[in-house]
Amino acid sequence: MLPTLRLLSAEVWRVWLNFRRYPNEAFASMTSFTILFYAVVMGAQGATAGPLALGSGLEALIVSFVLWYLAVIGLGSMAWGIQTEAQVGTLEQLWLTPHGLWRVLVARVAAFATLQLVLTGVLLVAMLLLTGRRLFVPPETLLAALPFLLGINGLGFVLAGLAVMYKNITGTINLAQYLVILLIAVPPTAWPAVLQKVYQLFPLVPGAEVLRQLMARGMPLAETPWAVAAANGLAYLVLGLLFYLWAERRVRRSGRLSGY
Amino acid sequence: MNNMLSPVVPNSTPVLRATGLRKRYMGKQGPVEAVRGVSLQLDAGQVLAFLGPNGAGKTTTVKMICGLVLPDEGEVRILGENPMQSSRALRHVGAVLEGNRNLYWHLTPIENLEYYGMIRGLPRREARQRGWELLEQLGLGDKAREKTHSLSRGMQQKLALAVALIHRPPLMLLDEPTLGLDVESAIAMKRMVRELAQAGQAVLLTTHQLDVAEEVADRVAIIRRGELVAEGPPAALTARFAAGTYILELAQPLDAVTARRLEELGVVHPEPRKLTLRGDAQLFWQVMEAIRPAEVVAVQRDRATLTEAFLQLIKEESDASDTAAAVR
Repeated sequence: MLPTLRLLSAEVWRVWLNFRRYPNEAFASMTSFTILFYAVVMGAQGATAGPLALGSGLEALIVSFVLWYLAVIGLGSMAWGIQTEAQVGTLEQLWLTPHGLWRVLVARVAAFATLQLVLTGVLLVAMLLLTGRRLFVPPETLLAALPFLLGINGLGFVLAGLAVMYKNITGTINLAQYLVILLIAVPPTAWPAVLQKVYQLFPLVPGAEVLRQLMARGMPLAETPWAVAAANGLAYLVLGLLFYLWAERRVRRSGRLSGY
Repeated sequence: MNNMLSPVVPNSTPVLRATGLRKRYMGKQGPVEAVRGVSLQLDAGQVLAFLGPNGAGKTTTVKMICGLVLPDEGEVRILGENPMQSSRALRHVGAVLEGNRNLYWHLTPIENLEYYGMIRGLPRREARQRGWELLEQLGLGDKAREKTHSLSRGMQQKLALAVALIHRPPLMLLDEPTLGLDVESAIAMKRMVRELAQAGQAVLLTTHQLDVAEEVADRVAIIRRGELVAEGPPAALTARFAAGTYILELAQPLDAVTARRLEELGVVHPEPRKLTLRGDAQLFWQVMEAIRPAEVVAVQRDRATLTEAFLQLIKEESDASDTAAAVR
């Protein structure tokens, strides 16, 4: 097995272990998902879509919800992970692996997101079977979601960089969530005229707009807007990673990797 | 300890070579030179004890060796690879930093070992198998499925060592491995360090407990204010400070005339039948001549302890610094 796959399997195993170790937490999480999906499937649409609001159909609600959920994970998980590891005292040990700290953190986010998606998927299928409803998400939705997901993980790296420098950034993570909501909930057409011209430069906005075109307005996935959104997402991912690596080097230079 | 602990050492390259390491931090009252030009080399099967008072620069040096702290100057090679540039070089390293704070407390010992084994590149099956073997060897087999936070400090320290050993690293870095342990656990830890070296591991340990260094180390490096002030086998260091110290035991007390003659030679005469003289062989024979025909029962060449050597070194360096400061 490749070292990266081995790392990923280690993280999946650890996440699963934690899930089993704290059954009350797992039960609470599963119950809230069950209620949420039951509400979605039975038609309580408005309250569940999240800030992406990709339309009022069942498919749009589900996609909105899943994407927002992945966005929350991608945005804050690495930073939360660094905070926790610094408090527990294991951050330096993670750095001392042949993968380097950031790859371990990415594997953790991927493992956590995978477990959550699998559980979510199982619950959703159960709900659909129980209620007799059908769900069809067009395959191009995955392609359309890619730029948005790249961008959100770029912002996640920025928060991870701040976490590695300052160790406790709970307030900043919360603030970042509100900023993300602000960026993606309001379509650029509702922005001031000056900003409308440069909306492609803002993080996440072109990606959210591509999704909105596809899901809410029912338009086909256009190549150029998608390419712009993908370039935007990739650029923020690279910039975020570079910022993180700079921050990590800075704390290693000042000898403050394990604590602030 | 059997060969389960044996590292994979690819060739005869030194396991560790650190050259000219320097580190300066900004303190509240200006820059502080934490480490000043430290160079170390360590071969397979050797234990190097890095000795120094608190704040001397031991931990900073160890963290520079494994790349956790970036040096301002100098370079590190672990089996020829640079850990500052490539995290892959860290596959050769196992480290126990700050005692038991290397572990996940909500996981069991065997889960900790499996997890750390996997993220360091072992297949899960091998990580589990090796984890069990290490736990058995360290006497923790019956604690394998208990939560780590319920173990005693000594057991946690042993587990931290097992976690660092899981991937058979050729280089072990142990930061104050016996600190805070009870007597029994400290003895066990020292024995384990020796067994690691016998199995071919290179071990660099920091300590300010001189007995630890004296008992387990092949070589001792003494650091003070960021600078190496001495390095060598413990016996050579102690001999350096004990050289020329003789204790002569006499059958009868000396008469007043002989005692006065000895005082002129600078010989200490604390007890009526015991002489302590510091000097070379010439002085020794002058004293023998002076006390003739007194009957000598025993001649003993004094052996300083590492503690005495350490204290003298630290004092010498302190005096030298004070003199230099006065001249400036």
